Amino acid sequence: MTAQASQIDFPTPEQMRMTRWFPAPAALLWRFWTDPAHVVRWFGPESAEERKVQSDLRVGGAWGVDFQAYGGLRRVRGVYQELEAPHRLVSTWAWLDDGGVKGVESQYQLVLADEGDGARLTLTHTLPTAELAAQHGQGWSGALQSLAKLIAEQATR
Amino acid sequence: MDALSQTFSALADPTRRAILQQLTEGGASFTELARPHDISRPAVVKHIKALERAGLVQRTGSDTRPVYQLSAAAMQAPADWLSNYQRFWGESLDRLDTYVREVTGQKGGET
Repeated sequence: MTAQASQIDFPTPEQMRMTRWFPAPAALLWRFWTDPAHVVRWFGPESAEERKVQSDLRVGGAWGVDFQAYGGLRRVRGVYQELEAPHRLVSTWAWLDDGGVKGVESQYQLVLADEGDGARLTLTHTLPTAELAAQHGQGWSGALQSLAKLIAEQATR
Repeated sequence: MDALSQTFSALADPTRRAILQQLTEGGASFTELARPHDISRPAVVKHIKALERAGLVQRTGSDTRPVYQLSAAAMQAPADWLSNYQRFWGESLDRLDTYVREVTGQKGGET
């Protein structure tokens, strides 16, 4: 069995979806994804060092990862929104800036499905454009829809 | 503030959204941009500056007769954020794959 590269697509202009098969069952991948003792071993960009992970694995529970990368401390924070072990996880996602202020909240969904001798992992990361548009209602729509349209045109070019 | 936050913060104001809406019709002078808004010129200047800082609007033309346009970079911004996440998760999943193979005692392959 050989390592497979991730397959990537963009279902909407606000979404990035990544799919990859792993040589481990969903139950094991779920532990690797949610248990801080395992997360410290893999989370973050290639250059990440000194990872610190915390996780309160329940709906409404917070998680966070700190690591050193790109010449500084990077901190990401999230709150679990949906947990269906070991198959589906939905969480918010936000970076903290240098002052500890939380940036814009995006969201990711993890889906694990047993397949062959392992499991297929599908990760979808969604930017908050649509949610913000809904929150801001009518006043928001005009300019942003135009922007979204132009973005979509660029994306399909 | 990260780039995404800065952009959304710039978009959070109704006057700034209206200015962007005006610019979707094409480039405009300061006077054209300011006309429909019932606020002072300095206030309009402030809004335009915020949009420029967020990279949503760019200024062309001369210093005395600037023309404002929607920035191509702004149109590209969500795609850039997504490509950042693509890199972030791609590298994370590579490591996860290596880790899974370490733990389960399977050899990794590059083919």
